[in-house]
Amino acid sequence: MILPIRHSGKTWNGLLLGDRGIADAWVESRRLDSIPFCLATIFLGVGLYGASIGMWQGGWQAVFVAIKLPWVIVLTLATNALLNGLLARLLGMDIGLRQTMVALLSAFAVFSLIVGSLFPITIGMAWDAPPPDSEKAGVTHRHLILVHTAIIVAAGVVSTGRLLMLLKRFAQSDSAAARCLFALLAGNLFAGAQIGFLLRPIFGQPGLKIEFLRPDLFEGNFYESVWWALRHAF
Amino acid sequence: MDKKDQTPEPPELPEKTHEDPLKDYEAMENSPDLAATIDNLLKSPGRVLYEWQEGRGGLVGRHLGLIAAVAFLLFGLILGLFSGGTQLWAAPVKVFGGILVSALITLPSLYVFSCLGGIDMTLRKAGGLLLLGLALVGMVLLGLCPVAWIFSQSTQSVGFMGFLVLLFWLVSLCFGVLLIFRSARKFGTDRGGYLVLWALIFVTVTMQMSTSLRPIIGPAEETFLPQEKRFFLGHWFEVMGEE
Repeated sequence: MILPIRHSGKTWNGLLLGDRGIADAWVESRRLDSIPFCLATIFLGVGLYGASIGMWQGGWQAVFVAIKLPWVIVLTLATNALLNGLLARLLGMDIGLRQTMVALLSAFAVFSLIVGSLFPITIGMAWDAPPPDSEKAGVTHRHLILVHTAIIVAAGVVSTGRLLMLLKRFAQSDSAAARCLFALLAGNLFAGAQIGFLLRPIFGQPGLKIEFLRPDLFEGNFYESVWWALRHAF
Repeated sequence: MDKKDQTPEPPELPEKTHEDPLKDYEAMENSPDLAATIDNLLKSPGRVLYEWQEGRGGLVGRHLGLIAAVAFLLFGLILGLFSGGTQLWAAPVKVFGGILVSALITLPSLYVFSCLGGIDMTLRKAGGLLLLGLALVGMVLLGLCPVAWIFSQSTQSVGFMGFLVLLFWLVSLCFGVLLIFRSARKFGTDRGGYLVLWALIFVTVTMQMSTSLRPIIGPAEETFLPQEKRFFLGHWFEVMGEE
């Protein structure tokens, strides 16, 4: 997978600005160059950001999360590729399966650029936080989760906005684009939560062993865990 | 006569004009030597930006870097005079180093957030804006140095001195950040307040840097860098409580 470095700056610029028709041209075109470009951007941006999430728990956790976090996105899109294409068609979009995939990839590329641009700050934050073996580990862990959640939500909102802009250009109506966006988000969030659960630990828990994947990988699922947490919270 | 014909024509609305945020975006009149760069930075920052972007960028960049470095080192020295001893060299190094690191780690987000807001930005432009803003922050801090020195010699309270330095830092930062906003708008309109968000991040990073590199004001004979890592608000509240 070769990132066209000479043009990547301009392409990233165009993707972030959102008004130069780069993503539109990708969706319209039959060529597939945009897919490796978006994937490279995702692996770079989300990978660096993932390293900053894992950094607090140590070097190995940084490496593990840098590898795993981009895969959460890629595996989610791969799992839902067929469903996304079908939903887009069903809900009034003039695009097919490949085009839906390219639209989603371009939105995730914007997401990756945003979180990637913040990674020097989040690395500094991890480096500057009380370590996981200190007395304040629990509080620090919760603070870090809150900050990272806020960053991910903010980047997600912006990239979703870009996806909606893009979908509107290929929809039979604005309401069709909004319906399609809602359906794509719902499907991707549903599958993505479980894929993220399978690839845990992402944030890690202070005191637990640092490992690439949990040994009980396929025992339980995200929604069972949420249900369990809810039942034991009250 | 038809009623419609009697209705007077409304006067024509004046054409909407977008005010240029940097009216002086043009080449410097004379050679951009250090004195001219300082003069233009204060009076016509658009000219400095023009030189950075389209003229003698390397030279102007070196001058801006020099202005910022000297100003931050001097401001650090004034802070060091409060405690004396090790702080005479440690405080300038920490102030300069802290601002340099803050600028470097927030540069990528300045570029990305500007683009998201609709500003036609490049990493070079973003670097220029940041350098321009920091040079102005340095100049304002330099102007506040005599006041800071008087207080550093006449007060014993670390809490009061810390509050004063924070106030000076925020005032000078306002000038620098507003210049960055104006300069960025030269290249497009910021839709959605992304630049404001970036400015908040930048301010937070510099605040945290002051805590991460503590002590900057108090005595540093026992430790050059802190033994314990803390969030800046927690640290400030603790110092104020002790005072």
